[in-house]
Amino acid sequence: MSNSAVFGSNWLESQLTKSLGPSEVSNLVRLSGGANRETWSFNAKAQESHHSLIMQIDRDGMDRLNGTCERESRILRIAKQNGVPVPTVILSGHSDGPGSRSFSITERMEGETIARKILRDTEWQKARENLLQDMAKALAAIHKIDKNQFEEIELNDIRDPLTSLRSIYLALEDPHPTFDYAFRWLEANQPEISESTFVHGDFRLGNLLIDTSGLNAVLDWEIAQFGDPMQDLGWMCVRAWRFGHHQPVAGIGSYEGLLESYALESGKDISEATLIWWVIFGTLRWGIICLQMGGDFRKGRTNSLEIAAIGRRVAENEYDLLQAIGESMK
Amino acid sequence: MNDIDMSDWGLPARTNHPYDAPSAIELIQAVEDCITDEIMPGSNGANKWKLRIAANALKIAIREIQEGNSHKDDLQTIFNDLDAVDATDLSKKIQAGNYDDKFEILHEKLLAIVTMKLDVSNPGYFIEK
Repeated sequence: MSNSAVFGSNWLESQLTKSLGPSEVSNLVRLSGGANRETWSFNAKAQESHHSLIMQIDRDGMDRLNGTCERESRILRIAKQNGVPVPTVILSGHSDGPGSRSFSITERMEGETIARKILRDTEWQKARENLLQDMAKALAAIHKIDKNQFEEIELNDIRDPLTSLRSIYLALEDPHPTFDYAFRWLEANQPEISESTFVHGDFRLGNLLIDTSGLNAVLDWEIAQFGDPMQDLGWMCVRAWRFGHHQPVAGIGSYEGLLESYALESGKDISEATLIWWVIFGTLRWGIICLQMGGDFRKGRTNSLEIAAIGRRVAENEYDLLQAIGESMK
Repeated sequence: MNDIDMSDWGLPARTNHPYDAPSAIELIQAVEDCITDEIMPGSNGANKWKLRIAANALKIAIREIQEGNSHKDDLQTIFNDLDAVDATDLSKKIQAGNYDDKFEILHEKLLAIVTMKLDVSNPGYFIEK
């Protein structure tokens, strides 16, 4: 039984009745999806309106509590109410019957997510000029949301990021001495945790929808959590998310520029040393995720060549860690 | 038969006895060339992307076979220099703080290990100094 047979146009039309009224669905096309969900694009014609929409649905057998589409849609609604640029949620819920899966339907927004195009092509020149400020503004808006608004959603609260990351690394039982060295350096140089706020957790090129004038929407809220807001700033500066470009912030800006824009939007003055600590933390985090993803291939949980190849990117992060720590010791 | 010049018919010495040629490296190289030169130009989108990853994976495999033995020896020398038995032992000793007063030496040795790994997995990744 193919997915399109179960969750096809008829099913979508019956769901949409609940929010748009009687609707006619057309142009249902499957887009590339992540590991945990499928993404479909379609149009809906309701009584007096036309809608370009996106439907996301958890993959079969994905019964984890965290990271489901329905949960993400609740986060999107809160983000939207607090002025963060995100797609509007039309509807979310669970499919009926056994093997129920959660899904969300959102408006389809214009733009590009492929980082290499955004960083290279002339049509994104204007977007690149505005992007640093746009990102700082969006991050400040995310970090300002009152944590009590998430009472109904169980978000992870990362009080001690180093211990959390180390427990993942140790559980993988595949020693990488450079990672241990980086943990040691991070412990010795850890800035005081400034505060705990709502954080996106995966804020970087690739998860940002860019239109020709700049940032249009922040996507992929699956691992949103509570933690030090600086982790979001450091993460987007990890070399992997510069996609081959030299500027340290997302391949387009300087640390100084990011900190200035963020201070302007949030009122928080952060030192460059603190930002760099979080970039090194992010590099270690991505290195350990690469190890984990390569492990999914080694353990037979996936036969994806792309995932297998990511296992070999561990060394790139080890190199970046040594470069950054070497710089800091000069 | 007698008029044919056979002076150029001699084959290169095989490197992988008892097997026949082409060797493992030569076979992988042939597949990589086939993907890159023949299949990729006619492909698009997701398939082209996957073929690029495939060709790159084969390049890594070739470099690993070529470098593997000498890297293994070099790695053992580094472990000896750091009074460690293997990676697991070195990891434990770093965690225990055994090198906290000689971070610079440790840094240099770790960079030597990572350089070997990147030489195989992605030699284009090094930052030009």
